[in-house]
Amino acid sequence: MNRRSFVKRLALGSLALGQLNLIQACKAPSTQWKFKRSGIPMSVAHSLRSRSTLPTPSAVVEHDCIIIGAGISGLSVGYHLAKTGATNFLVLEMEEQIGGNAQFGETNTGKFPQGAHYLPVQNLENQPLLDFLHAIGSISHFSLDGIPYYNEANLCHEPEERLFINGKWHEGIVEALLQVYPNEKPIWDRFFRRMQYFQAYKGADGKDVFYIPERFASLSHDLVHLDQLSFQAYLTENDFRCTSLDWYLNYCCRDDYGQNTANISAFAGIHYFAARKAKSKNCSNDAMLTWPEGNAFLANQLASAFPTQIQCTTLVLRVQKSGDKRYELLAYNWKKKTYTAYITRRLVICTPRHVRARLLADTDNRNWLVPTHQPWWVATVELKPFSDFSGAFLSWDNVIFAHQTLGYIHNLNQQIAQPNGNTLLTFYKPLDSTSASEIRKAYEHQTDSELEAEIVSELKSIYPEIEKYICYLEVRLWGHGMVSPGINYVTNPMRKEQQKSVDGALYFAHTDDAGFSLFEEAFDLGYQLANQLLNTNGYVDSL
Amino acid sequence: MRILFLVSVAVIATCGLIYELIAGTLASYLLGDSITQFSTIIGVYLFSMGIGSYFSKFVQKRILETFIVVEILVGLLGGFSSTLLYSLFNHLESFQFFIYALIGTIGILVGLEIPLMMRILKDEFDFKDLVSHIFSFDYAGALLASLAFPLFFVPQMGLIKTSLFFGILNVLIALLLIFNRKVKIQRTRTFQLIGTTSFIVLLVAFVLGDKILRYTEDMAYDEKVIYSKSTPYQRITLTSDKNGTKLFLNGNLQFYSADEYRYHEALVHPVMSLVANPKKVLILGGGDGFAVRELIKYKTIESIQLVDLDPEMTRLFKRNPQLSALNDSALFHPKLRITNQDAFIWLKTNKHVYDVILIDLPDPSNFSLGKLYTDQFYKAVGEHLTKNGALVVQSTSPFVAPKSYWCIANTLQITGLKILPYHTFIPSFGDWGYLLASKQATRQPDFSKMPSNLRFFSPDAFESMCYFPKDVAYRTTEINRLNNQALVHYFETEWNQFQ
Repeated sequence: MNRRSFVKRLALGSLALGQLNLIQACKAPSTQWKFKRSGIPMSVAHSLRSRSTLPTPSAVVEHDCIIIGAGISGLSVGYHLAKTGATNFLVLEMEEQIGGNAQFGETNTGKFPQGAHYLPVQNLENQPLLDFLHAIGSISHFSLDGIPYYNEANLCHEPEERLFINGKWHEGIVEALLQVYPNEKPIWDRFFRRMQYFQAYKGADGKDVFYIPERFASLSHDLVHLDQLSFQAYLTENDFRCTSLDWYLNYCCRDDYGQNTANISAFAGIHYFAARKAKSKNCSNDAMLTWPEGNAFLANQLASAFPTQIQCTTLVLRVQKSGDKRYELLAYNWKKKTYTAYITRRLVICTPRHVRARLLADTDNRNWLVPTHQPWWVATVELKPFSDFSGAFLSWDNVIFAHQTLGYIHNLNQQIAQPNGNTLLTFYKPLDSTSASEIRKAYEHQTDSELEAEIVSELKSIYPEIEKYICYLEVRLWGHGMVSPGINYVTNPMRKEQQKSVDGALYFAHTDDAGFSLFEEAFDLGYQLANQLLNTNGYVDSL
Repeated sequence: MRILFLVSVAVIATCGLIYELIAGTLASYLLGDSITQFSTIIGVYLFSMGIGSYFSKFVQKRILETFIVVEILVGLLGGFSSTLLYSLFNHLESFQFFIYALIGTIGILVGLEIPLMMRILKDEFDFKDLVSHIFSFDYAGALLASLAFPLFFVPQMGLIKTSLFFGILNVLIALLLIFNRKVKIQRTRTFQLIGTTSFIVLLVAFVLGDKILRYTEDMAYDEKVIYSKSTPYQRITLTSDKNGTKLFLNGNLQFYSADEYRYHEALVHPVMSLVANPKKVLILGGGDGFAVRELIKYKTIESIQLVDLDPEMTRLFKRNPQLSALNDSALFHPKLRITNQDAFIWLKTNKHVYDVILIDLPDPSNFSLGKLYTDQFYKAVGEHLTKNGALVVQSTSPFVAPKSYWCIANTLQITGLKILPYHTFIPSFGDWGYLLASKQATRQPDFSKMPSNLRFFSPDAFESMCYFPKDVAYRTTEINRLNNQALVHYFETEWNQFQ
């Protein structure tokens, strides 16, 4: 390092991380970079709300089966239908891109996720998913006793994670916290012993209470009371409280559920630590699979089984019953500006529950149990070569202690090609400062340049000099991120009740139905639903 | 008056020759090959003087004023010539063009001097006296310059101060004419100002000469930077000392021309001798062309595919005369195909198979480079190897970094390849390791087809290379995988401990 870059580094370091969570409504910075806001325009998405005067469709199309939503659940239904050779189904997706929360973007430097971006190695009972991972090459082969060997190219490459704390990057997250707070280790040990206990905890049917996917978990157990209090209350009750663990558990809950421990049920909080019991032959049992474009890779692998049966930019506005056990849909293609009617004998709704409720307002006006979905933004920046703070190397996951963002992903970490100099980082932030609906309201009228200014200001609270290095900034604002399993959602009997199909003609699959926004749950719901459809009399005949 | 003019002739002749000598010295010093450099510099300089003499006829009026302007310009340009050449050498891609442009300009100006002087003095002397005086002073000045330059100026002052000194002399001539009342010229004020300023600038530079010396880092005489460029992938730096040239990538030594033959002979000839009749060869890395130079000694080779990430590397080792002299212009060889692409991506997107694969990549000093030493990488390499083919991997120092070396060996083995480790001593690197690997059980190499004109490698030498004494002997290690980068961790620890 020459002297000048040393001085620069020093200056960057001394200003580091002083200013936290500065959401400033300041004017947009003079942009020397390209800014893009990705995703469907909010006005289009919300046209579902105001549907008083709907035009008559210009075409009528009939399909044996219509799936609304090309998120992982909808894609999984399609994938498992297509695997059996079924072709007479159609997936309607309102966005330009499939994948739901697992969409991606791309610059000349590389691909990046706009949302979900990894999949842990899998529990062994989950054979359909293991088969899928094998089919797409992410599992190379199995040992004789059925333990998978994962494809190293898809496992998270070293260096995996680091934490910025006390003015320096440290390798690992838990390791780093314990290095800084060594006195708190006994509390951590006690906490993890308890989580191990829950990992093995069985219900009356002898099955694990905590298991992913839910299909293999116990149906009757005595831990329902844990869903009646917040995770934070549970932690306090059991004296699992100290600075480092508090921050870490809040970080984990915000990362997976979009909310901190106070707003998540204890059952869901424990689920995070107790539901994974994967085994693998060639990596640790908590290893991650990841791709430069995140889980969009998986979404596209699913879709590649039926590429011509997905129709994007098509927003379903209304669902009506049409005769006996038939549904008529009115859909709007907001790119082509055309209205089409779809008639089907089997309607599969793979949207979040609040959208499901609106779609079915005319046909099924029951009181839906709708969970909270936290808003998020995900911002990707391409940076010219810049000097980072000292300490551990730039890793796949880079977390900043006590910061409002969840940190950022280094998208090139998973790339086998040598880097060309620029860096591609994706920052994640769940917007949880107040209630989800209030935040959505606040963002609804925000202009692009205000959003850009907010993001840049947040990035500057991590790297004060970042503006000089940005050459591209792309932001994805998620009005409804993932389901936040709050108190009495996961064990609420209504949750499962409301997932049941209606009259052999209306079906549902979405992670809202599982209570956990996980690829595994979406995949498995889709798998089950496809089997249910295929077993229904008449489906195969009608091919 | 007459004497003043005639002394001026001697001085300008001395100065003119000195600038030529400085350019020739610097060119051969910085670019090497002194015979070519000196003869082309002298040629260009004399030719430019001819151009200057020719154009002197277009000076119709104010001959004396023109002469003064020429003196000041020659003084400044010549005076700063070596400073310019030294400091711009690092930053100019077409340095050779610059040096000729500079010497050409000075030559044109110097070429103007004598014809103008003759016309100034034409009324002072008879023509025969004029020609006789001018040329005798001119040639006397030349003798003075050619003796004083090597005997006094270069040893005492160095090149930068020498050129500044003669620049001052040129400007002094101008000043003498400007301030001499007997000389009748127009616009005296302006001349006084320009002349004095130029003189002061040169004088200050001369006094600060030693500091200028220190400011240009390439003045470090023991090892000077002769080329430095940041590409998107790496920083390429070439340095030179009295024994040869060194190449650094991101500050890590890649070769030293004084002993690189040891490294490259040991890299190429064992693997070539392990395969019967190798026809197709692949090189991953090796953009310096040295491995190619060794390969083309085998006339049986039909094609060589070189894959190097950085187009700047292959461009440099093709176009730079000093570097292409080192690799015998191997990068121009008709059997060679150069592809500038990432090696890993290239392996994944191509299907060709090769009898011999040379892997000559930078050491695994960071996580990006570490990926080029993983089992995944070697699996991809293995798919490009013919059934009876063999590959060699340059694999860091088994003495400094034994765990790193054996980690590469163990990683190669896990992909199903049979390995044969060997190492040798390279003065500028120390004890350096290689790994031979093949799909078939390793035989001993058959050296009968080896070229005879090698400087270092021999079959006997290879026998000792295969022996690993206790301190570098085999160790068990982790396998280097994308998801553990074990090698980068070993490498960092071991090299840090060593330094």
